[in-house]
Amino acid sequence: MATLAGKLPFRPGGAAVALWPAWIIVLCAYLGTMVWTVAVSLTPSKLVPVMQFAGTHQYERLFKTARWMTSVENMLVFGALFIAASMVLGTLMAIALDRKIAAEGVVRTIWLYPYSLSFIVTGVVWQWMMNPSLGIQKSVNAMGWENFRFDWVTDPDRALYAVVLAAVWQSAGLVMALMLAGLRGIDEDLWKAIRVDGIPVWRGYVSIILPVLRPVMVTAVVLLGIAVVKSYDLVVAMTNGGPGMATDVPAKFIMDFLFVRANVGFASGAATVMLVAVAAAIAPWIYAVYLRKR
Amino acid sequence: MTYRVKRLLSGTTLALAAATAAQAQEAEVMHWWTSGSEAAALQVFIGAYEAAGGTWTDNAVPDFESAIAAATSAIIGGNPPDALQFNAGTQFADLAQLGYLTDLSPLAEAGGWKAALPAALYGAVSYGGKVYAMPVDNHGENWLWLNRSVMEKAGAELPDSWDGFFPMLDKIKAAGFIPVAHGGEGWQELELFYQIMMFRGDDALYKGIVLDGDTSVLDTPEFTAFAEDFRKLNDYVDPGAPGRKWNDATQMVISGQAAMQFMGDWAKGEFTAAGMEPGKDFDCVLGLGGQDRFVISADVFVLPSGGDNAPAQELLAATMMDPAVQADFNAVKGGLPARLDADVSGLDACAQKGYAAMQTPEFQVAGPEISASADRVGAIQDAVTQYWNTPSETPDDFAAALRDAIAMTAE
Repeated sequence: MATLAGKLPFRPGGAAVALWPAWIIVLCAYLGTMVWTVAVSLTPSKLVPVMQFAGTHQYERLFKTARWMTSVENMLVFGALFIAASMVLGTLMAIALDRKIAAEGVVRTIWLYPYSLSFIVTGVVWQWMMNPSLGIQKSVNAMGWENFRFDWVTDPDRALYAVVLAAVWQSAGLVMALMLAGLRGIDEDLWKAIRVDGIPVWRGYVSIILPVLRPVMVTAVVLLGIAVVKSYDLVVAMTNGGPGMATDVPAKFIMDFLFVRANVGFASGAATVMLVAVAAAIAPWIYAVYLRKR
Repeated sequence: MTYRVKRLLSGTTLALAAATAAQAQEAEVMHWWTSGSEAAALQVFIGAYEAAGGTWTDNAVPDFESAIAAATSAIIGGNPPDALQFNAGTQFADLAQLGYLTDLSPLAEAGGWKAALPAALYGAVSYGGKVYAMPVDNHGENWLWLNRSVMEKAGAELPDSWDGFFPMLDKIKAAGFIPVAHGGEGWQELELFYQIMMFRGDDALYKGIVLDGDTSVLDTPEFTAFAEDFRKLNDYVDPGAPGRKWNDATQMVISGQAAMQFMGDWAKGEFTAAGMEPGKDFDCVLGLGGQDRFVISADVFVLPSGGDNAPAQELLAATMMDPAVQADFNAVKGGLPARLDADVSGLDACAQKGYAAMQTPEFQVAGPEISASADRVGAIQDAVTQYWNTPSETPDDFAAALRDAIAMTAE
């Protein structure tokens, strides 16, 4: 708490006064809307918010709703695979560039390029490519390999992996850029020491260089983690949550109930559960990084 | 207040009176009719309203969701538009219940709406015995669209009863066509779900599940038989269906890749845009063997209360509920007049067929949107799409899922 208190603008002075607008925005826009959402989740609101207490009714229904449980499960599977694959792939790409491969400038641009596309564009393109009657499967079949199948996006058991594939394709470049910046910042002397000691290059990366880059990796994981919680546009563009509920995610669930199904109370309940879950996930990390040292 | 003051002043000169009357009848109308044919159809309303002496202020929003969001905040914020588009049904009941909407009962009585509208639609615009919305069109949700040349090439003919339906599909499949073009999105699967009910003649199931929320129908052998047929239909759909948009599925029928599509009447525009003629290049079917059920969905306008613009709102109601205006409007939009007493001789063959079906009270079916809450329709949709996409799910599992959906959305 000491850090937080130190940042509060209680001290008089120009800087503190200048910060007031920011504080007002934080308090009203962020905290205010959070409190409002939690309050609405305790009401029976449908299309219009009505301030009438309904207890935990929305939460009871939420945890009995098969679709919600499926969407949370999907988010966890998607998140784990997406973060792991993006980190590994992005790190490998960064290391490849760090080893001064030929035509580095061109390769780096190509690898980073997908990140400049929005999730909507990524989703639409991959949906076309993976659609069995339009994309890769159809072209390969037409070339003579009749039994070739690549229909992940329409297969309820594999559609989620199709979304992971597209998401990794899009985001691995970001991890690469971050990691490459980190690798380029490594002191040459460290490499000299590794060479002098006769440590193999791969061992040098795994045991020495990457541990030094821990802060960069934490940043990358946090950025990817935020993308997971917000994952909505990619799913909407690629599968719209389907087939069935195979790729439904909590953000899409909440948006559906908020706008299409005119159930503001229920959607707020789901949003509150997401808020609590995210807070519970990052609280230990915040504690470890910012608060424990004091 | 200003209106009353102006009216007092207007007594002094005739010219001033005319000016203020026109000013008082300025109506701000919020809607989401922005696509080509919709925007063109809206011009019919605007023209008729201005011809009647009003001034139309257009407030278009991109889609249904943004309209709901913008309108509810405007209403709650105390600055409502004079008229506001909605889908017919339970969605506006919340607003009516909280007293945000003008009671249109006197206008409805004067205009004879009860006799003129299909009973299901009249029920859908009433809340607690009062009328709160004006239905301006009527869209059939349960059409089957067939490509004639594909049917001929496959040597297939539409049977007189459901018993012949799967043999017909087999014939089409054997001829190398995709029998049914389907778009695998949740709402399209819900659409297919009750369309098959209509084609099978399962009125009791539809009434129980969608209209009354009566779960006892789920225990009947009729439900099991329906669920098995619904599952069986999956074999006649191509593997590329999941995620496909409805108009892409329609294109498959137009291009002759597929024989038919179950879809609402908005699909007709795709056929005519491709230069095909109803009754010549393609067929529109509402039922087998003359059992033409008509599942109704409609656009309505509600008139938010609290403004001081009653004369403009009344003029708007008179314009929009005029049978001739509704016929002209729907000739452009591709729907049917909501009123049953309009002259539809100017509409195409499919529209005339639909209008004829709508005249039979026992075949007027209230669509899901106009009879159940958005929440319940959504929950049913989740159960349907899950069943359709999960081959291992049995009819009993499906019944259980629907039972949960209904129980969870009980008011």
